[in-house]
Amino acid sequence: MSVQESSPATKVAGYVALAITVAIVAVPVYFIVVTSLKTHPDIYSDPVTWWPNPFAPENYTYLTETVPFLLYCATRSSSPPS
Amino acid sequence: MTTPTLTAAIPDATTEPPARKAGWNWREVALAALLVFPNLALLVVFTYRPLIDNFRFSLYDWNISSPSATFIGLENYVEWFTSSDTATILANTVIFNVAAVVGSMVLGLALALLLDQKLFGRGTVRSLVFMPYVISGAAVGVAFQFVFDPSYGLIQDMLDRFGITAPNFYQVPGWALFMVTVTYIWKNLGYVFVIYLAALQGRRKDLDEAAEIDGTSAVRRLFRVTLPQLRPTTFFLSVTVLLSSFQVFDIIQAMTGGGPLGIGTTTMVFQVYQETFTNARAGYGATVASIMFLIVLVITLVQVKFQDRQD
Repeated sequence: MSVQESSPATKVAGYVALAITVAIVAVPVYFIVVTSLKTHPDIYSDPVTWWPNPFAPENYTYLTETVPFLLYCATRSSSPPS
Repeated sequence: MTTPTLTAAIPDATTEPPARKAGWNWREVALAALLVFPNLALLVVFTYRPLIDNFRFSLYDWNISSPSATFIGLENYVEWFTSSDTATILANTVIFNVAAVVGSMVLGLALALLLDQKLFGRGTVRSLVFMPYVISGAAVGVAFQFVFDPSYGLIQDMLDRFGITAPNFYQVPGWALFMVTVTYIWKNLGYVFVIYLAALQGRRKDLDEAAEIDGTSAVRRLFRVTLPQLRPTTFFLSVTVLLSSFQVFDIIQAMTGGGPLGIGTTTMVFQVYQETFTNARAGYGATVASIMFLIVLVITLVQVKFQDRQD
């Protein structure tokens, strides 16, 4: 601010708004990533778990081993994997 | 040496307009045609021809798997206008589009104004806000099922902590439409935000400072100084966001499949898909697509007219 330094109150309000924005945008994205590392029963647990328990990276190996995901990435979806 | 060419150039310049009026400059016409042709050919083949074909199909009773179609004139149109589903689908379309355009533009502008301030970490937050826009709609739709799920979802979990029972987003049509709209706004916010932020950074800050020195309140400065400068951007966004929200299909397909209760979140573009590929009624689907095309065309013409009057 070249004319007038903004007051501490506006600064605080700005950071509160910033934090709310981060929460609204980042929490669903965080949830997408964390869910990708959960086992099936853990996904449907009540209450919601914020960290995968147990940690299940096998979803990713499933993606590359059972489904030809890397082939799909090459956009040649019409040709069957040989 | 230079004087003869100068004097020669002057009569030339004065006689040129009548010469142009007398006949076409064929070299220029040929060049223009050559430059326009490739693009025009693509437009004709891939935009105008399908558009006309679509109108033609809308006059037929055609099962998409059948090689033959029966001409039935305007019967498809009569069916659409008299169908009991039409009112619900139109209402869904209007609510979804109005909420999506107004919601994402107001929130996008607010975020742009916020992140235009000098705040610590604003660069990171700017990237973060834009991120949802580049995630595919189908992925966003699937992911937000975990947010809205009535028994295992994030929102349900949050509300539970305050002792509030979350509405059943999957089974109550109004809440399902709310869920789809919120998801779309969340995804589309980054686009509006980035365009508004660019406009804010290109605005004349001295006007704002002058108004501040004059003792104008912040709210008044926003509405009288900043927003009028953003008017072309607002117009551009209102057109592009409306056109893209009219075409939202992926989120609806991933989250509700057009339901609950059959057509709870079915918008017109979803109805086009539903009729053409699920019910195999390609002619009726083409009819809905044609009606939608006319509606969007009229809205866009009104917007352009409105903008012309503003300038």
